[in-house]
Amino acid sequence: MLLEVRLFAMLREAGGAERIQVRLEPGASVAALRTAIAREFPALATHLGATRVAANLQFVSDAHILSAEQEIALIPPVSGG
Amino acid sequence: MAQQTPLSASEIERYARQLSLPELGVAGQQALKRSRVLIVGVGGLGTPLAAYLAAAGVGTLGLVDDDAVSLSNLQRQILYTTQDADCPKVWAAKARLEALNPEVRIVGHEEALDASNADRLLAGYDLVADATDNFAARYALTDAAWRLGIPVVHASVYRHEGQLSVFAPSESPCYRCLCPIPPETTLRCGDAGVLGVLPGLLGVMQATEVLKRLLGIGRSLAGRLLIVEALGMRFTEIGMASDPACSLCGEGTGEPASHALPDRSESEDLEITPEELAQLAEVTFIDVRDVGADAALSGTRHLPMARLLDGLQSLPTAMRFVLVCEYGEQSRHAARLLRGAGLPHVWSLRGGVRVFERLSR
Repeated sequence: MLLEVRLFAMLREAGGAERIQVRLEPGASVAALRTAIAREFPALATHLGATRVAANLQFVSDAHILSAEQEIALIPPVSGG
Repeated sequence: MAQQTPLSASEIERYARQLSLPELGVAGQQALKRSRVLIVGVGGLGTPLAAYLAAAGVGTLGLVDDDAVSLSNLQRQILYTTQDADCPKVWAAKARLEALNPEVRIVGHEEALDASNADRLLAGYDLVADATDNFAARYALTDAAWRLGIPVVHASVYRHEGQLSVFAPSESPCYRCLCPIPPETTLRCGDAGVLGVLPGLLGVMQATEVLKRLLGIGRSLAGRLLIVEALGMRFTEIGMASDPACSLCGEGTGEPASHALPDRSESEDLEITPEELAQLAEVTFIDVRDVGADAALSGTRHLPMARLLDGLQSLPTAMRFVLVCEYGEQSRHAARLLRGAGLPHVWSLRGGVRVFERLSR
């Protein structure tokens, strides 16, 4: 399945795009998504540890099973003030 | 209770436009007058936040910040004037807020909040507004507030984006549920660059959440993270659930030590003060800021963070290096990276560019 992933904050700059596409096996988890992104988009890899994943506007854990219909977002914490 | 906080004639005139709001009224104004709010960080977020809370008549406003006003703050930290340069922020802000509204009490705490003083600083306040500019203070503040049962209205920004939420025990997940792993790199506004209105926008939204909470009106952002994208002018709301495995609020866990940021004692080893620097002969300064080569500090080598490890070959292990960035935060990460890469004599200059400029005079 082909997932469209929306990037925020420094991920958008590191990825050079507002959205990226990631191909995963059907039934893949958020953990698998992280691994795939780190492999295909090395520039994002250093930020992934602290980044939270949201599916359909809800934060989800690494065990969450993804489906192609879900709207995926990668949200890094920011600290400026 | 309401009778114990009477409003004077001048207060009734001052707050007339909000007294006439049905959900606020005299009882709401009295509730604001009785309220005590601690604002941690009086910078880009904290200055508009403090201005609106003082103007609205929040009875006691505490301000925590150990920084002084610099010219480069004025692009976004709207409480300060050009004449305030070098003045400690809490005192400049106090004077300005008292001029804006002499009816409210402003308490200055000229110190940086960390795990060692957070409980003392938060004690006695009803609510804390997290307007700091670094993760270490955010964790220290939200951990202490959670323990003490004090709600936190949180805002943070990065370049053109901001995040806003409310963390309140028994109502919402905690900050560590949202952000369990401290990021490896942290950029402050001064290092990352920021459009001046962005922290202003978030600071005013933060003030809105503070006032709603003090008045008990509207729907709180507790349990939701609001992401504000200024360039696309888009607002995205993400639902948050408590993490059962959370190191702070999860079941059967105690200390959040495993995720804690390095404490002062560890970072002190990486940092060098001007006094310690005076004891060292032959030091090479490296400007690690992500600026153009022509903007690098004079008398330094320029090696931006992004190219740090590529430049490692050019740094002999026998030499002593002192890294400089805007505030000493990025340079501390850089020093840790270089030590890890096998360079033994490398430190981060505490206080960053301002201290460097004082040294080179």
